[in-house]
Amino acid sequence: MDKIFNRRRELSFQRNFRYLSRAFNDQFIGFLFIAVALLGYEYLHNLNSIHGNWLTILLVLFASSSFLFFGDLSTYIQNADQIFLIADLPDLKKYLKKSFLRSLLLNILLQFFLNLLLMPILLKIFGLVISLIYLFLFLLAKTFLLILKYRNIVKDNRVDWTYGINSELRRVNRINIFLNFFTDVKELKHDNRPTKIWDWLIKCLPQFNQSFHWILFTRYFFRSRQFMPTIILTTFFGMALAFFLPSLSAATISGLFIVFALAYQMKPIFSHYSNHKMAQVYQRDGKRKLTDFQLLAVAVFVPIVLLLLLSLLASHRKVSVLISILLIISFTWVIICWYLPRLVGFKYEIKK
Amino acid sequence: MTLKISHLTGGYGQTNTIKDLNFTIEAGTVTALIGLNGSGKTTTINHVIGLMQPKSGSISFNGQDSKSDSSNYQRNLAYIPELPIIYEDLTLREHIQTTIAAYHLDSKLIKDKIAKLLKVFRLEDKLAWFPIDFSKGMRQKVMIVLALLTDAPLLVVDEPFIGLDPLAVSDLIDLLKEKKAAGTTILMSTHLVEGAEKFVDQFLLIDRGRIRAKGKMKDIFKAFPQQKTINEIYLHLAREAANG
Repeated sequence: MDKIFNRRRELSFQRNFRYLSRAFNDQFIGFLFIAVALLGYEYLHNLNSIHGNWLTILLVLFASSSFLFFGDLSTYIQNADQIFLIADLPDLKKYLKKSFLRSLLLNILLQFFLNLLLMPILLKIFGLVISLIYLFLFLLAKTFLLILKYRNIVKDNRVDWTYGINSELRRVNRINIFLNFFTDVKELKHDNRPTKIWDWLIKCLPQFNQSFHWILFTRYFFRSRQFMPTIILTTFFGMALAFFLPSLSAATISGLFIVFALAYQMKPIFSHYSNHKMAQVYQRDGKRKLTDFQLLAVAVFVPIVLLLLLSLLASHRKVSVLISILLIISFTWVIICWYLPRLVGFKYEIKK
Repeated sequence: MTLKISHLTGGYGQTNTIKDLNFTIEAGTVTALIGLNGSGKTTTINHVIGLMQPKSGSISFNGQDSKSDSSNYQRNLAYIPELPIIYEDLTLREHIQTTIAAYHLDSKLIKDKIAKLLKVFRLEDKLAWFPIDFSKGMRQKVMIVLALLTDAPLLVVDEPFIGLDPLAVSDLIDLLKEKKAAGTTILMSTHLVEGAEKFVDQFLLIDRGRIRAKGKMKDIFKAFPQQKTINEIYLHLAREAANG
């Protein structure tokens, strides 16, 4: 039993690292390094100006509780196991117990390190003792959530296969969504139920452009539910940075990083239908495909960049902000016209 | 509008699934590829629709080569796959829009045609449906509607009757007959010889990547004088393959 699941875990790690190695290329690492260094500097530099008012406490608690979403019980059970492993139920239960303990240990470590990021603020607001009690209670809450999940899978003498399999599928899909944030993940299962607001927007689109790839790109973008939440979150994060960072240069660089990160989020759209048999049979016009993709990028980037610039303007009312605005607009233009075609491997696709 | 296949050899990796195939399909005729599973029917079709490139030999339609003039060649063909392959994010209406866009059709001119095809396959009230809402048979009907509305001069159909109810099979046969009468060149692969015999002009019996017999069904039987039915021919070929 352990051999089967160890192999699955190994394959899963290999797969995730393969995707991560694709995502974290030289440019991304470089940009990330600058952004993290800058944000870290700003965070520690401005720590003294943070006060323990109720709004700050609420924000810290909100940020801290959002960490609870990170990490989950990993069982690696699959749909076919409910047939093939039915005779090995006692062994399976032993394995599930082991995997629960492993997940618990990993999750506590993960939560501990995530909370370390908030520790300087917690210490500033609450002091050492209350911060430590808070951290302990927080880890206890995560442990309780994991036990609850484990108890839902292993109930007395039986294993709840439906719950266990669905919960594992959701866990893997969450990892896929995270990886898809940086690169195209083929295994990602998306939910394409229509939503009223996006469908209204889609209905307005046909008059604008009737080309084959435009129809495919826009539907995938609006309906797959993997882009809008992350793009909205990234935009809000970028707006918050642009608004709250006291230094104009730090706010500008964070704005540039948000634009750069959004380009990565757009990447999977280009290749999503590349291996679809009907797209291969009917359409070979690669240049038109790139034009439609860049058109979609313009439609996505324009409102986001506008919001970033407004946030920047709202908090930095001085003449030098005009240079930042010019810089962000030029950078977006370079990203759409020059970087996106390279990021999606346009030359390679044309050659193919 | 002739489809010409000359000395076509191809396959996956190092294996040549089809070897030295030669045949021609004239405009307004139907050719059916028949044979056992794994004989090379779908590989032949994948070469004709441009999903696979020939290792040697050539495919041309109306003088346009599938390799050197692939864009123009592919613009002339419509394809119905064996298993329905539709876009999960698009409604039926949007699938029709993509087909119109891909073939540069005038939506106003083909409005009546779309309505007729949707009515024939009882899909007219399902325009807002997503693929997830369709059964397997309905998905196949969607593929048929999309291919038939294009008016492409070359129609390639891989196992068209699989997953369809008897009424839809009969409707499809009628539509294929209409297409044939309108001068469309049709290449199909099928196991259901009885249903196809009435409108197919040429059968090509493929065995282990080579054409073993061709012509009307009586010509196929002439090549296998000991066998009385198509199933007996298939059994004979299976035994031959097993004996190497």
